[in-house]
Amino acid sequence: MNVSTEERGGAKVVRLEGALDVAAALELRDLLGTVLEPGAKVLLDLAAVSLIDSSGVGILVTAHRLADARGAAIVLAAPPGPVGRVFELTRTNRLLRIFPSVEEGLAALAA
Amino acid sequence: MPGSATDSFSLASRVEEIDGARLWLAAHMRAAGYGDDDVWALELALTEALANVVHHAYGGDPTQRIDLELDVSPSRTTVTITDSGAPFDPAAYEPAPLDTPRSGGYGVHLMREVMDEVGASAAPEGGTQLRLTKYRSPGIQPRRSRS
Repeated sequence: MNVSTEERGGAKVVRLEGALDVAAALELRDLLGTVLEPGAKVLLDLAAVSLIDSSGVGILVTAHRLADARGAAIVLAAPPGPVGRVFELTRTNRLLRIFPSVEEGLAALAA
Repeated sequence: MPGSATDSFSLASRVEEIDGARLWLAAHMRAAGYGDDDVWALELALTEALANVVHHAYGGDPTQRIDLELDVSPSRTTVTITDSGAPFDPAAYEPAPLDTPRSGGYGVHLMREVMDEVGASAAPEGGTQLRLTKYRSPGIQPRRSRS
């Protein structure tokens, strides 16, 4: 998993690349624990994610709850078809805030 | 037969080794003409199966070995995962309901959802042989580059 981060419109945009799988789980958990500071607005750009497994989904669910607990916000953007399908199959798409594009995700964070 | 192949692959029981197994699987399926959706489904199921072996069958012991056998034909692909750890029968495993999103426990559910067949039997030397089968989807699937 490769990670790059930038600030856009008052939000942290974290671009993830590669597999969000069991091998990347600890790194992903630590990354999200760090960026989700109290009050932070975080967008995860998933456009370059090749695969997500149950470990990756579980960490995103945990991050969503961590954001709530810290008064922060996290949205997911631009998941490729297979990534979005895993959210649907696990029904985590009902909890996670998922947007088709980075722009739409940023707009939701700014609202 | 064109588009048919068998191959074997072994890996240590470490999650860092799973990506190599996925690359091996995907290369064979693409060589046989499978499209992205079918390759993705087997990559995901294999990842979940190997994670279960590493974490549960071997309890995190990184010194153990996992053997894979691949049988690719024009109509279906089967990968057989053999370990010598604690036995596991996916048919007897009932995943927790999906009513409330949770932070884990989706692996067997995903495996069943994306595979056409999931079967298991006792391995000759103890442990489990898990078989994952995906039939080739009809029609033309998009081809994406791996990132």
